[in-house]
Amino acid sequence: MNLVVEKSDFQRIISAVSSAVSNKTTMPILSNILMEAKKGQLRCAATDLEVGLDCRVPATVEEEGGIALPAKKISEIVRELPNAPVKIELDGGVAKVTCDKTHFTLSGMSTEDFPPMPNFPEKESFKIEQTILKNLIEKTRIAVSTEELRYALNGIYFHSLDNELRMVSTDGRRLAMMKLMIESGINEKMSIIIPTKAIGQLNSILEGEEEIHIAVKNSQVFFKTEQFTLSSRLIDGQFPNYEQVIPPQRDKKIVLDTGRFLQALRRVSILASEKNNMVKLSIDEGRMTISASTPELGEATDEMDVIYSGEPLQVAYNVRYVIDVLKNMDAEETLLEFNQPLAPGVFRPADSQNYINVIMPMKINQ
Amino acid sequence: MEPLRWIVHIDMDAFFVAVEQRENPSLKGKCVIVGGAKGKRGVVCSASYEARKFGIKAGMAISEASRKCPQGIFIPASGSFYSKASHLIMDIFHEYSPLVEQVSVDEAFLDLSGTERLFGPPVETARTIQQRIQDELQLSCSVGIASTKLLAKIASDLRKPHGFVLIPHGKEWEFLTPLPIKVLWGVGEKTEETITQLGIHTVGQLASLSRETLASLFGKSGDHLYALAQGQDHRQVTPYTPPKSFGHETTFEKDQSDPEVLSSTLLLLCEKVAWRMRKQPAKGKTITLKIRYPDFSTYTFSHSLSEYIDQSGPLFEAVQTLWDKHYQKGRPIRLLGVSVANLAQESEQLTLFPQANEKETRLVKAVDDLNDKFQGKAVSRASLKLSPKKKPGTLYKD
Repeated sequence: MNLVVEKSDFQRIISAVSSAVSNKTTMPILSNILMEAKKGQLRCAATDLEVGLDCRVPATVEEEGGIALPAKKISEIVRELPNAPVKIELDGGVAKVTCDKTHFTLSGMSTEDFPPMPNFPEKESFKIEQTILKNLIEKTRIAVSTEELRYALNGIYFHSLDNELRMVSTDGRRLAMMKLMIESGINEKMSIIIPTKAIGQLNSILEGEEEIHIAVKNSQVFFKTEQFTLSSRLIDGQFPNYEQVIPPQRDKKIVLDTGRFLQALRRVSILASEKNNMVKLSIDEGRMTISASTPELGEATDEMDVIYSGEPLQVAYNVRYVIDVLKNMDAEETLLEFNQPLAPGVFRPADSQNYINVIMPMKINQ
Repeated sequence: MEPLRWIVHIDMDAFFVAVEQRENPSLKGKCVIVGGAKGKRGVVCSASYEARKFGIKAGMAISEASRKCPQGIFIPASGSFYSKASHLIMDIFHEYSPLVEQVSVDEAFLDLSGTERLFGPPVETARTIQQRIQDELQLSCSVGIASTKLLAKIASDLRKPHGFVLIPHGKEWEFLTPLPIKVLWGVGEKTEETITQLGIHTVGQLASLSRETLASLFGKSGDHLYALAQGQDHRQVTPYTPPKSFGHETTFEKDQSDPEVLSSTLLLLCEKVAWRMRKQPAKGKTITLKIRYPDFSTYTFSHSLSEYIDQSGPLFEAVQTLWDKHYQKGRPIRLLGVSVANLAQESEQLTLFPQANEKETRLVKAVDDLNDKFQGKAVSRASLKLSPKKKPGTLYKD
């Protein structure tokens, strides 16, 4: 192997791939980054056997070949290199890294020891614009459960119905769902749970309007662009029947100014009880009072105009959940809908049914 | 000036043994040890005064007790029996003051301040209580009466059994100074050792040390020691403090490595803990598994759930996860324990997928009702019905 790569390209690819390196592993090879020079490209890959990431950048390849280098050291080296083209050549099992007047030699392992990265199944794929996928992820990852025991909830559920793709997450107390129409049809009905770690990695490398190809095969999901291929094992579990917890009819409707509501919640949450984070919403004709209190410490209230007509209502939520939702609400107006104060509350953009958040209320002990 | 406080501490004398002796008078005057059958595992819960002469103490291993006192009569503890007697005792206390703080099954503080008009001088009231317990329940207790909880507790312990010790107001200091430091609440073996190394043996000597000296030696608890040594103890008699955790543990009769027995023991422990939580009622979210191996090395592992629970299903699931993760497979075990902490009276947060839970909740409620009706013997899990040889261990509360 003998190649020259731009420092910025090299740094970007190494930092992306190192996020996939296994932190705690009993297999030494997995703490390495695989590097391969081939056909005018430098390819770097890492895997923890759950999630694998394979990235490519253009390079001047003088001699093809490859090596696996310790991820931690190569990352540190790249970070400190001067701003100049980087030359990497192999001498037996040792990589020589030269950049301007700086030289490193680093011992590596054979590429044959590296677990083979699965190939992207082209036939099974469909595509979405990267920025759209990123938006979908950011809007739905808020409700993912972090509780290990409920492993089926430790990821985002991708569910396709005809030409509609739905991404859903829930932790058992709230649920986030985003819908998207797909033009190029998904061949079969998709019903997969993608683990949190893969979602995080995917989100950090998505950028631009270029399309990303998505495919599912053999309990694995694949995301592919010109620059990278990410593969992840799927969560082997049953995602709960989310549709049944989204009430189809909601007769109480309150229209709220998203920015103003978020501001009020942030203020009032300062004095929300640390134990339960409860915030109370007292809704009356055209007006809403937002309040929170911590016994023996103090209380906070804020008031705002809303569009609502009907009997006075009082409902309580975990303030964090509502803030999470509003931060991701791109609409100026948010619609809060429910049938009664102890029933699921639906938060959505006033002008769209495509982003739905369900938050279970809290009981107010008078 | 603060009004005079009259705090009474009442401690039953060898309570479990006394209850056994009352039921079976032939045991009177003998070395009786409650806690487990001879030759079996377990610890001493209570020993008669005759047995104590042989050095038998509560908490001692039964095996050690039977070595020290071979003629001892060993009786397995029957908890429900003692708690019935305990209820009757507490009922008597409650006739005299609303401020009764039950410390354990056989011990309580009463605040008799301000009861003079109703019952006459508190010292007389305390004597009446002691007499009534003797007459009505044929049980003996020791009584301490003083201006603070600390002094009342020291006093009740001074002339056991059947003691009655009054520390008159104004004589607290006189009473406290010659006593060894270990009488102070919070002074355990370690603290005692540190203080003794300074050449200090009595409370009076300790009281001569400055607050700063004690703080530098013991940090925060130095302050607390300083106050106690000065005879200050502002703790109130608080009628009821809700529990901070619920736990059960069991010592196996023989070190146990049979996975079936271990698993069903864990399930039984979970059932017991969950049942008590529902009785309270309380829910909790931090689950702790305790494992003790035959060499007495003891480990605890905890996991916090995102929801508050009071049912054995999710509790057992969490315990099992901890178990699978941490148990050194195949290794024999001496003791297992399960506890739940981080309690809330009721979870205010409603959940999205209640359908399955609701069914389970109704089932658990029905089982609880049946067990209430038939003293806990009506319904249990089939998986707890092992062959007689594979009985899960006997249970002791925390």
